[in-house]
Amino acid sequence: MKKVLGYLVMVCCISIARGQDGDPVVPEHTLEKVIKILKSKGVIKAVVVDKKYMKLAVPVYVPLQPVNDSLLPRIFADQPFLTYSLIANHLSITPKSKAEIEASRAYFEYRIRGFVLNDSANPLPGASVQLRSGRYGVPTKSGGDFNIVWTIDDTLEVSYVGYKTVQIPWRSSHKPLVIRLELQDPNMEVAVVKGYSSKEKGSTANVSQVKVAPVPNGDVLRIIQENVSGILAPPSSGLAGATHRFQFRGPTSLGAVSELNYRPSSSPLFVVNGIPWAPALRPVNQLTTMVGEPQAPGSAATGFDPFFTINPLDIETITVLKDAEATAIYGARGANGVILITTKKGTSKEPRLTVSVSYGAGKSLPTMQLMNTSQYLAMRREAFKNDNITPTAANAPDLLLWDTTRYFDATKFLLNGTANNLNEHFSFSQGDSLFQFLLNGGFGSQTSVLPSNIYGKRWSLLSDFSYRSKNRKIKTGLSAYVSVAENKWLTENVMYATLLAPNAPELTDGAGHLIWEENGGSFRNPLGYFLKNDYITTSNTLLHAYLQYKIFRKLRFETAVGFQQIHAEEKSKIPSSAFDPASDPTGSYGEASNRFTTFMVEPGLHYTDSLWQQIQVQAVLGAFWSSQLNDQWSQTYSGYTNDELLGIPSAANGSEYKSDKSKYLFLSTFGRLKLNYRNKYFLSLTLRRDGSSRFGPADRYANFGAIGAGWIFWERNNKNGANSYAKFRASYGSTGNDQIGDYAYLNTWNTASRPYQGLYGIYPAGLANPYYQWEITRKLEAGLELRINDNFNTTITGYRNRSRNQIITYLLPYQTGFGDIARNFPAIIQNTGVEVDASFKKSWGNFSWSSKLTLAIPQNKLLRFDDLENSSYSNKLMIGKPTNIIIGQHFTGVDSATGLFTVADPNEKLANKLDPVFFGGLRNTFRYKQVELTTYFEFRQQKAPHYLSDFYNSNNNNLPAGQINNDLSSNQPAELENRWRKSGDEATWQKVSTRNAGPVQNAINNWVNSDARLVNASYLRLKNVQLGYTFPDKFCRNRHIKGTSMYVSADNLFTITPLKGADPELQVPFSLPLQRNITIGLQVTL
Amino acid sequence: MQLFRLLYKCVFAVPFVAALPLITGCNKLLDAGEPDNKVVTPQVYKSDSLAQAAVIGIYFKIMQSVGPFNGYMTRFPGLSCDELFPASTTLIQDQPFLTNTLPSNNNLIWQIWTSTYSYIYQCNDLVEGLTGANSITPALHDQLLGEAYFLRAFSYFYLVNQYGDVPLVLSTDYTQSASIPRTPVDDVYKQMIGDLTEAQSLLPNSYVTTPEFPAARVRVNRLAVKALLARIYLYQEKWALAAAAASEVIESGIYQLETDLSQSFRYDSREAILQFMPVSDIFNTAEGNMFVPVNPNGRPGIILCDSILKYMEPADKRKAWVRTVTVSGKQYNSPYKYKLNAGTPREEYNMVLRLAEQYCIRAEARVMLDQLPEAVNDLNTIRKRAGLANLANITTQTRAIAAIEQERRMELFAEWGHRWFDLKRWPASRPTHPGEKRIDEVMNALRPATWKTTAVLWPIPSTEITSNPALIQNKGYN
Repeated sequence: MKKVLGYLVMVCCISIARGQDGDPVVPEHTLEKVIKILKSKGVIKAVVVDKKYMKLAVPVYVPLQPVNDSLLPRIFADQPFLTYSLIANHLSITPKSKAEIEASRAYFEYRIRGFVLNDSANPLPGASVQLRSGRYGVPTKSGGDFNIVWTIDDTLEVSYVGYKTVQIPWRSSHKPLVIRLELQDPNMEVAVVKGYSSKEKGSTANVSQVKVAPVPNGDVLRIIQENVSGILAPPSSGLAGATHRFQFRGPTSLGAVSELNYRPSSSPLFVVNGIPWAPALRPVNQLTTMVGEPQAPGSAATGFDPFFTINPLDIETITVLKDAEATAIYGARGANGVILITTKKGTSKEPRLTVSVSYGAGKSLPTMQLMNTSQYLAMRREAFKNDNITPTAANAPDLLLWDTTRYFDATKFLLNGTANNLNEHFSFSQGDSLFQFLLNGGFGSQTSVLPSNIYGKRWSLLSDFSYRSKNRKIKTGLSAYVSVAENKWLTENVMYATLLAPNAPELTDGAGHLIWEENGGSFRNPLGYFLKNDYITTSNTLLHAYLQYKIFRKLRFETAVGFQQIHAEEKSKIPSSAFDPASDPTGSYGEASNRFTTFMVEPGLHYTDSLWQQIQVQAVLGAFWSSQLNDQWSQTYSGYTNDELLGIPSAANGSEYKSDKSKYLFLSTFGRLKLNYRNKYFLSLTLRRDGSSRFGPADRYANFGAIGAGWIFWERNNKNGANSYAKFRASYGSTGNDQIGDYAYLNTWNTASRPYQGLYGIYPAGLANPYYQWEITRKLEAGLELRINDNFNTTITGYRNRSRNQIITYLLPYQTGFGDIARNFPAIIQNTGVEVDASFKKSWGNFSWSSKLTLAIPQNKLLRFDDLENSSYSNKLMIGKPTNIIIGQHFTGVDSATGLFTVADPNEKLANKLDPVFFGGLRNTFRYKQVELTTYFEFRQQKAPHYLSDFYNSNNNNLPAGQINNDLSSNQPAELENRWRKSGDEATWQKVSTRNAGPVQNAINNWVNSDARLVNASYLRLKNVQLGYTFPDKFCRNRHIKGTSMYVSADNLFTITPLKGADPELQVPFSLPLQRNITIGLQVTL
Repeated sequence: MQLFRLLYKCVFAVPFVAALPLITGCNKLLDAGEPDNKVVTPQVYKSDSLAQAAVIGIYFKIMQSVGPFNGYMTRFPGLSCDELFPASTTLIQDQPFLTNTLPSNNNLIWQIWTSTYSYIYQCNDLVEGLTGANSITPALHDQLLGEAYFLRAFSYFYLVNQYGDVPLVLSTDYTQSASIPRTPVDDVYKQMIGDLTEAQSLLPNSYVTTPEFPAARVRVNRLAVKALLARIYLYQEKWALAAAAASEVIESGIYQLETDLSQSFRYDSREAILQFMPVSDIFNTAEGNMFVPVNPNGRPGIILCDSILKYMEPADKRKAWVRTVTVSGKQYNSPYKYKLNAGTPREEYNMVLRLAEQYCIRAEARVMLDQLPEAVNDLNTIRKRAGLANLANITTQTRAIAAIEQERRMELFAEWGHRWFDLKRWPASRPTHPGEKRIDEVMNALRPATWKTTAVLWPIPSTEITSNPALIQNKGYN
């Protein structure tokens, strides 16, 4: 599994071959041999030397004649690092002091000749040969030869674009050096095709690259969040395959008022194997499921996330492009950052097969504490008393019709199960310098804690090969990823059933039939939820092929073509048996299909050269074209009176069909120039012109550009090759955003789905604005990189992004016919922040410790919004405040006389921030011999809505305290025990009431619209602990295997948070909780 | 190796083909065309079939799902007064109507407002599009324009009666229409009368039919326009005009009262002046779906207030319009004008305007014009059909008014909120203070605890006020 990546590690292979004859031939001896000779001749009697110093010796060229004392000064005169003393024929060798070395520096300078050869052993002209500390360099001449004065202590660095850099420590050599360069890792070249800068010393861009661990935890988005600073990707549910909420350096787009808190168009661009990921972060299912409504606005849309089809074990790297300089290459779509996901590649190694298996079990994390029967009944009776209403069988079946001594804990009933997960994966790879091949296959399944067979399964197959022609002119490769995910969910959120009145009747009778009422008091049986099933089958096919052709030495043509299809198919079955038979239920059946098809082509010309032997130049001229088609339909059949016939269209009483098709085309041409002056000063320029079919013909194209610069202002090299440096970089540029939906500029009419009087009607789809333009984000960023002896590495970045010309779905009164219109608006959103990535590693003998910290302190601010007060955004936004806020009043507690919530001033406007103040993670890895322990802590400082606001916004089955609904889901959090009961009470919560109108209900708005609604939801969570053991080589050799390891991993072991009632990560009380998982795994490489 | 060579060629060829238009011009590569399943505006008013489809689109939108003119106008006004009541546990959505305490952020009043304005937008688009259109066959042009004028007036009629003053929007240009303040009710009525006068000059007395539905009365004709005019004149208390318009409909000879009451609401009902044809597969009419349970012995969700049956004379054949069922020992009476709950067969259409109402209109107008015998005559026409004896002793206007209230209530219950609107426009029979309306009298008796005079109007949806600050909320709502 330990593939070495070309991006970071420049491991080189130096082959020194015998060159042409040069200087006078003098026999060469090692110092040890010379001393042996002197000893044998009796010149010296004994030698006192520490063995380790002998490593500093250089070969001796002094003619060994005459063999006497006079030889010694001559021999040691040529030793740059050693000196000697001779006392009574006893030779003592000691290292020179720093001052001595410095003093003799000039003496040891010598002019060395050498040759640089390419990977096919032909001379390589134009390669850069540099002394690292001297900052002096020469290029190789037409014969690949060079000539340079090499000083003691200095390291010779030979580099050439597309080849691995070679470093040679100082040596005294009388022979010419012959240096053969190796091509960079094939992946590196693919990276160059895409044009982004990898995380290398000379880069001017902010790029974070994650090499996916051999045993990744969780899904793709979790891996990104855990490794890259500034990215927040909390799950929306504990259910496998559910979408994530996502934030990357704050929201850049406003969107419609209704979507304001969801940042609909602030999704970054995801690119998987070079192909833009068409669904972005939106769910691909269309029917409503237990995790939410997929058609809801923005990130309130929750459903199935197609990233579930990607097996994390098949991912090689995830690259996150942050600043303008890095995202410029994706220009018009890079406003919200770019995330590149690359699957595994074949390697040039002997055949190896790695098999990994893991199995885990999980229990639900605790959720909110609800009232028990006596607390509940007391609350209900009190509510009636407060209202002066006498309970009747009609308005209080729970008090009068049901057994009031019974206690049923619905939360425990629903969440007490154990979730299992199983993962099986194999990987086979083989290759040589010309041909590399990889085949991966995997299966995974996850179940839930619910007492029903809810699962997510995934099958995946990845194949990758790359080929290079023998003459090194052509390189090509193809990767194919095919995966299928099958998820069985419910159609409705069963978590609302936790609110069932705690004295509800038994759920089933003796024969196992569902019970729906007792003594005439009916309720919704939680088991009914489990009869409403939703099946989502998603297939993902991803093909990517590339070709590179070297036209001549300095010019390379590269191209890539890609194809992707994501196809989600759904079936939902709601039988009439899932409802109370007294309510006269019928069954329904739904089918849906959603297909995304993407094609893309990316040709480019790459030119590399060096100017005046000082400046390395890389230039790229390229183009990108993609076409995304989306084809979706859904059909729902309803009115089934017979559950047996569910799914048969002719047995349905009626059906509804919906379909939509859209096409999105994107075209861009770009040029990029990168300059590198003596590996110390760096400059890069990008210019591009982009066109998107999402704009009207007059506003389709826009120009974007970025400039980046870097300066290594301090650098040191250790003798052992360890490198320390400090670098400053800065970039500025513009990127665009076209996430506004397809065809929004056209005044389109929809066709009626059904005929009226036999004719199909048409109706306007919405108000159209043909003149809106690109939303522009200008990004300014500066960063400091510090690296000390390869042990300590830190990057501190500050950024300021300003998004202007906002395309907002401007809210209109519906008297215009529609509620909104897309238009550009002179609003400016500013995102500033600081991000820190720091890592440290050190080893002491068998023990090693490495640590990695990510930290982000983002700040989001609305800088400008003209006439905000009179706009539809006036209740949602405030100038100078973040865009994600709740505007409200100052809460002044519960009035001890009336028992109602009060606020200080109903007209006050306080902005309460919802986004985190800071967040990050800390990973520590300790290794002793074969045992490795990894811990990962996640922390966040934030405020979140109190979980009771979900009760007070009674959109669902949850209700304010005291009331009941049809389903009798009326239980309340035990926290309400601290409520106002009688005049004079100092309570946290106001009095209860059975009325859904009146002063109690009105006072709820006081609380909901106040700062009391937001509570501290900061947390520190031990997200993961992993203990691994790698079997020793000897053990493996004896069993004829290449390696084996096993591990135990635990998720979510503990959390420190002041937040009650909801998970600080999920923040909503009614989504399936996260789990505490224990997983054991085994990995064998054959 | 053969394979690789082929691959090179393919991969190599694509970018060159793609790069060619880069040089010559990129517009082709960015042309997503027009969406496959959508039409674009300029085409619509150039072709007969698309222009007709644009009108059909209004009917479709009205009937596509449950909405203002498909169920809501029956359900919520009915629940607001002494007409309808939920059978068992109250649904959250019905609750505020039962107590006449609508919050201004209520979703249903928002839906009714927004849907109605979207129909108005469609009508405005048609009026604007057809006004300049010269490539449409003249007869069709007039028909479509007439329908658009009618549907616009029809939409405004319900808006003003629910919300009071409403913005009078007559254009599709949002830059103009977005800031229009509330227009006084009388001005909106003036526009309605103008629209309907325009429509009656454009439309023929015959219905537009298709071979598939040769007898359907599901498109607006001139008499439907007249029928709505009659109602509007009545509401405006222009008695003579109301009586004249109703007379024209009654005397046209096209309509007659069905003697078999179970025939009245069928697709082939001869008393229908205008029906909307169901388009949903799920149900025939929203009312049928709402009032009639699937199961023949099932308990209905919404029932009639007891008073309706109580006031119905024993011989009244209109009891056939009430369904009585006993579930677990309890008797439930629910509206049974429409008999079908579900979608097929398609035998009942949404009855919008029918002849019986025209008799009621004329009778009321004639009472107010002091033509009592003629008025009694009209009422007796309806009573006769219901199997009832002729009215006697209607000697004073007061008695006649009481008889009209009784007859309208028995004839038009659970239909388009007639009862609610009638109560709101009638003065109180024994006013305790001046200006008191009949509604106050009835509701003070029915819901003394919660009734407030301001509840006669629904609140303007709060989001609308937010997005158009020129709108001012109705009295009694914050």
